[in-house]
Amino acid sequence: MRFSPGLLCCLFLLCLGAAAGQEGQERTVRRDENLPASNPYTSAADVAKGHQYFLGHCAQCHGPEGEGGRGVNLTTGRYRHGGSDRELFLTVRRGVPGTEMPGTHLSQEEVWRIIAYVRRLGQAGAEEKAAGDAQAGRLLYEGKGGCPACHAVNGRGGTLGPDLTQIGLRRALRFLRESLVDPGASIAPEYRAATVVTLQGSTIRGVVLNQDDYSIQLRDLGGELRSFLKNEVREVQIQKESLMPSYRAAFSETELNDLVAYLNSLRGEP
Amino acid sequence: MCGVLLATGAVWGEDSVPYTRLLRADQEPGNWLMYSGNYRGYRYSALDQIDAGNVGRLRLQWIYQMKTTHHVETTPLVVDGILYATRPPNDVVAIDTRTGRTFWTYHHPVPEDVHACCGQVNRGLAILDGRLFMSTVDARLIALDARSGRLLWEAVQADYRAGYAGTAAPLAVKDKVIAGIAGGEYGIRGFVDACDAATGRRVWRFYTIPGPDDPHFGTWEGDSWKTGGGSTWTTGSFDPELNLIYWGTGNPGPDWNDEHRAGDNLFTDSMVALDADTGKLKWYFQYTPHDTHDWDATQVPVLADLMFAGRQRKLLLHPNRNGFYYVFDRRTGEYLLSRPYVRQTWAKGIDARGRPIPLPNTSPTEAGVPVWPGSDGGLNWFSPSYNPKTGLLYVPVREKGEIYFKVEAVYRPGMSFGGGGGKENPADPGHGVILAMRPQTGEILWRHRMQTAPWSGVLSTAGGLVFGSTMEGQFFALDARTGNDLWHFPANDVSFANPISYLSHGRQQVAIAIGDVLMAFGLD
Ligand code: HEC
Ligand code: HEC
Repeated sequence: MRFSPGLLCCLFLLCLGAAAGQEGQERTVRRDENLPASNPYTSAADVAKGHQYFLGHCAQCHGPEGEGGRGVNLTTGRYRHGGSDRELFLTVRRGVPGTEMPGTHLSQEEVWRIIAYVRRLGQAGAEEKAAGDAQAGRLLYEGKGGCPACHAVNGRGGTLGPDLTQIGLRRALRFLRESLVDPGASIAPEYRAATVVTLQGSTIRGVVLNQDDYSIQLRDLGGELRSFLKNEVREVQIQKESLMPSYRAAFSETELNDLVAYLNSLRGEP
Repeated sequence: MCGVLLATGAVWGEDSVPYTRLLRADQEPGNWLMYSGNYRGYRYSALDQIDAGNVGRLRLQWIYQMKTTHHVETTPLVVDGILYATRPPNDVVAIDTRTGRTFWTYHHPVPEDVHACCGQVNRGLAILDGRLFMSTVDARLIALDARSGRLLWEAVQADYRAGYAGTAAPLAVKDKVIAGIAGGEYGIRGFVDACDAATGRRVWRFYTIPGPDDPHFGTWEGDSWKTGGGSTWTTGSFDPELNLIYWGTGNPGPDWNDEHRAGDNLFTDSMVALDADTGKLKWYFQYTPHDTHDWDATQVPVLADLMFAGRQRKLLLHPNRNGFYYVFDRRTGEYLLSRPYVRQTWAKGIDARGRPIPLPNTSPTEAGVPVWPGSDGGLNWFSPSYNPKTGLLYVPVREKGEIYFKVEAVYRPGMSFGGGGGKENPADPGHGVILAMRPQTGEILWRHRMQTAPWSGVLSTAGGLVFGSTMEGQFFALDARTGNDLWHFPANDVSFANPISYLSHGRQQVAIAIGDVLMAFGLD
């Protein structure tokens, strides 16, 4: 199974790449020679320094708390471009070609310290101790709360809301609590809600998966993927409220604590 | 070692695309439900909105830009207006066929140390019961929820560090996913796997290189079978009535140097017919015994029921990479016919049982020997198309020889184990042809010549058209009866893919990937 044009093309691209990016490439390579596989700079002091660098070099896109903006949310603990220390290093060093994510000329030490901080961002809730009873919270989650209708944990449950398998690592207690009582307070861009009213007058609600000036793509409340041309519907409303109901009234203070404790205990594999 | 890494519960749209829909794929031409369009390997669309009269007005409707430097070899699936495509190396996207906008994207992280022979390519997906299935270049088979793009399970097929890679679209059959493996240039031992579609658990494995406990053992010198290749990197076909899966196997290893593998080297370069439930071998046919030219038999098997020599028969049609076109009775594997369809200089002929009679001095040497066809065929992995309306088989072919040479081959896990290769022959730059063939005889009715030997398959339609793409990225439509060139679109980049057709909001579209752009055409 071999095809020579393929091989030729690859070689060709390599040569082109070498010619075009030679200088920068070489410098990068020399500077990062003997890159260790895991981060040698992970002390509290390193994280603190990393935080400072992050605010200076990264926050304008990724947000001061890593919550995302022009850049992706870095608090999820999941990395499309690879989650090993080495991979994170290379992502930050080289940037993500073809996107806004730039590479950086910071020193190796500085990059490692930023990685230490980025890791901490990805584990926002990891070190806190919750007050409630996680076991009781689990029963509420699966029973009265009806949360699995919209959320998955370890692969079980709906996909209208975010996967909660690792939510305990990703989110601080304060944030978890806020998610329950005031879900609209912070909605990740990929979970923005919209309502489409068709010319016949029927209403479709769902999560906005994609949109441009001429069309909008939704996951409706039943989980179906839907696409609408904007000039073929009566109205498209992007909502400020979350599709998730507020549980402020539905749960007592103790119940909320229990739920938060349960969410905080979720630290499994994604 | 088919360890399931993640096995999870419910899928959202479990009721969508059940097996019964796959069985009747021909009856819903508005969708493209599997790699070849149906289980018979036809790559034919019964849609006829676009025809010889209006194809001149075909217009680009949308494009999807993949932003990759890998070859895009994907055949998308389309289900009820949503197109699912793989994006190299192993991402999956769900796209609205009306606007080209994405619903979701799934990213499979590929380890840094994957070195697949022929690029980190992927040829597509299978779908069943709301789950999408993909083979990955790090030799896994994975399942996604088609509605959300969420990972459902992930099964390790083999160790990618030993050269195993998944590149072919799997085939969903009953409650199973059938998946092959690539790596024939790395001394792998090939197999076809069937995994449970719901959980990823392996149900059976058929080794394409028989082991010591198999009655077909003993066609390899010494231990050479252990690194014998026999990859299975193109999607097979399925006959539900006979309950047989037909899958082509790849070259023996080392490809070009046969010094240490005397014997026929079963089941390399073969067609194998496997029981769909058990993976047991029903019959096999080896096209090129003891191959030294890298002539993988991994062309899509076409299953057609036709009058043959005065009798209605269940046939298997196969334009093989070795330059000969073959016809079999697919119940029994009985060899019925062969005939060269490109220039060939290596065989005096094929004997009555289908075994080639090789000519002397056609095996690779240190200095090099010119032979036709080249290592890449003939036909390669890209698809032919059988059109039941015209009754013709359309085959995109590489008319091209190569100078075959050999070098020493030493097996080291994960290192290439080719032992030679094919060099360009300066006396023959080669060219491409789309040919229309009468499948019962191999007689060629028309030829459409192309400047360069192609890497793209063809689609034929009930609208009387054959769609294909040149190596320069001209996407074209030919008249299926005459081969007349009716329309072309200059996409202007290398083309390594197969076209498909489907309905979007009731209107026919034809889609293909050229360069790193997936493009869909339709009438306004
Ligand atoms: C100009 C805006 C911008 C700046 C400045 C920026 N980023 Fe990014 N970053 C992005 C974007 C956009 C992406 C998403 C790229 C993509 O589409 O894959 C990204 C992706 C990433 C990723 C990959 C996430 C993943 O899923 O793998 C990491 C890690 C990251 N950035 C860290 C940083 C760090 C650390 C800094 C500061 C040194 C930084 N970024 C500066 C815009 C930015
Ligand atoms: C009708 C669907 C729905 C139900 C029911 C629902 N949620 Fe949500 N949830 C969402 C959506 C959509 C989001 C994302 C938007 C947002 O942040 O508000 C979300 C967000 C969250 C978040 C924030 C996740 C993150 O990654 O930041 C948490 C935590 C959460 N939900 C917990 C729960 C719990 C616990 C319950 C049950 C008591 C529940 N949800 C019930 C739809 C739902």
